[in-house]
Amino acid sequence: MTQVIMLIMLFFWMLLIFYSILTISGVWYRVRFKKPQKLSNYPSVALLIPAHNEGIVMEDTLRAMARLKYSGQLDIYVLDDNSKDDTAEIAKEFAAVFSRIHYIPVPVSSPSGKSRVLNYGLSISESDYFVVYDADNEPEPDAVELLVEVAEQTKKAAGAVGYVKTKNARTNTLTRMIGLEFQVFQLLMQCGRWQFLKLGSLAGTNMLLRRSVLEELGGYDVNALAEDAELTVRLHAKGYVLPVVPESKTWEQEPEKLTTFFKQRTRWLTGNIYLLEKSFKDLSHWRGKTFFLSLQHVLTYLVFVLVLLFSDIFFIMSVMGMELPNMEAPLLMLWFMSYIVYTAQLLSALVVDRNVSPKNVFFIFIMYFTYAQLFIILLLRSVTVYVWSRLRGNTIAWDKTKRFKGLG
Amino acid sequence: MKNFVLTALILALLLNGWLVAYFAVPNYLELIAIGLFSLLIMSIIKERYVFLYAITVTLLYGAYLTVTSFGQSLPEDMQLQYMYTHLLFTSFHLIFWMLMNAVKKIGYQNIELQHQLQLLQKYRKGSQILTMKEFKDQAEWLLKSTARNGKEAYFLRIELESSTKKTKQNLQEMLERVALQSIRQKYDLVSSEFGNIYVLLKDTHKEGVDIVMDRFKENSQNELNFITPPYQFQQIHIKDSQQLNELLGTES
Repeated sequence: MTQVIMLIMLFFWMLLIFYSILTISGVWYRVRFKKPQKLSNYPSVALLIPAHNEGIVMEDTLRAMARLKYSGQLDIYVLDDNSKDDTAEIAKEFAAVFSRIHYIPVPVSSPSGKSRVLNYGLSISESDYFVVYDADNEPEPDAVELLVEVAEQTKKAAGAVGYVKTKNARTNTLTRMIGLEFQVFQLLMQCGRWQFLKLGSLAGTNMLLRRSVLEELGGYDVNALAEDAELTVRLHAKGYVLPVVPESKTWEQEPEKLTTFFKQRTRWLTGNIYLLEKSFKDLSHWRGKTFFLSLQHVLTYLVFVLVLLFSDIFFIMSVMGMELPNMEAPLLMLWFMSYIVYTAQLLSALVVDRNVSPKNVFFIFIMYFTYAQLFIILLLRSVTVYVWSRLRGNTIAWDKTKRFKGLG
Repeated sequence: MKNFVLTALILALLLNGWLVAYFAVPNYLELIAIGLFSLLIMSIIKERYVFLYAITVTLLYGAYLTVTSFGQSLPEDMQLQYMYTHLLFTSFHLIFWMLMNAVKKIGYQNIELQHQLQLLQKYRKGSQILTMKEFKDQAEWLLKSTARNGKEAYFLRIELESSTKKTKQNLQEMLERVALQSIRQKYDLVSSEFGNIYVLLKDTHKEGVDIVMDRFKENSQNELNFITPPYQFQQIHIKDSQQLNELLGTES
């Protein structure tokens, strides 16, 4: 038992050091980032919006899309995946007015999900690059142009990834915490990984890819639930890079209810477990730079949650006056440092994103004890769902995140 | 409000330092030494790197304390002491970062306000001489209207010739006053830089410029003791604002 705990402690240390380095690198990258130079010629871009019953947000989304400024050829495709609401009606209305907006109904087939819709979108469009936005996204007018400029000016770039900000962060405590988490993982960690390891990861939205690269890789994996993470690994395995562009911003809705949050994150985690399984089978996931991506997956989705679980168990044991396992490790200090690193990441994200406020600072001090703990439940739930479906030989269905109306 | 924030941060910083010394937390002498070193570094590095420095030393110090705890197999009460030490160390750096941020923010606001003020100023301090920016802005309008009306405009440069250092400033001020008296009020423009006076004459011709120059000479002779005037004229026919900017660019 002691040996197992010591092993966990070792991983715990690795995790703390790894994230501390990423935090510092992320802040370093952000404070030194300069906007890219303008291009003499802008390549053509197809903008893909997979949509399934998105009527509630579609109008705001297309309004933002119509405002996009791009100096080259830009075509926006609303890929309607069998919507039963007014998604088609709204998209057709915009398509009738704006020449660059197109409404495309996607034929019904199996398996359902974003990957299949994106593959279809690629099959009906022609362009040098394509950029993906979720149907609730409102990119800033220069978002696409910035991605293209950086991708064109970075050697071996498969594309570029931007920053996803939370549109409804102020709605309630949950959305505020998700917003803060996104500031760390969507921005600071992305920037840190790029600065320190020249690794970027596709966020599923506000991401640009060179069409020829995806064709070389054989398109999206239709069985992947976290298609972005899966594709990231394959891209890096082929030697491509994904530069991070923090100035390219899109605004996205996050779940306002705990049930919606659990559903969404279970899908993400299940997708990452699928990826973990794939990486254990496919050794190419552990070669070169891809090693760090796979390691990070193991650290984030396995070790972090296990460490969190153990630290909670020790905490409860010490509160109840029970004797802790006899170990040559300063458990209290390690627990304290995990809190410091976690909070330092959040604080750094607030600072580089210039939204330090007393309320946000208060939230970052309590997030380790509240929001972070949800991931234990999430991992247990996701593992159960995944193992159960594997045992029964089922394909896990892709499940869309519920949208909300009337957001600030 | 700004004063209150600054005062509160300074007091918090002092309180933090006092707590370190009063409770004599483990390694408090090295803590004070690092703190003083940080004060120096954070004061001299660029503002955007101050937070980076603060967060880096905070994490490094935490790693150092953890390694020490491992190496010396410290009991829980000592680990608690280390935690308090780290909290004081972190709060010290974060408070100083906030203080630096607040002070530098005020500094930047001050520079920005000065810049805005310069843009808004029409006249040089204590005179009716236009600032160089205002001269260029008004000249643009003036030259456009002259061109549309099919008239001519002339640029007159009055260059002060060497005078003693002590009197040059006063000589320039006097000649600026003379220039203002010699032009058509609310019609022509006058600006200056040290050693040069610039006049832009609107809707005129060569003879008109000569009249202005004669008037200038006459008015200056009433004030000066020189037989040979201590300045030289240069007159140029101006067609557009670009030509004027080039001339002013080479002058300044």
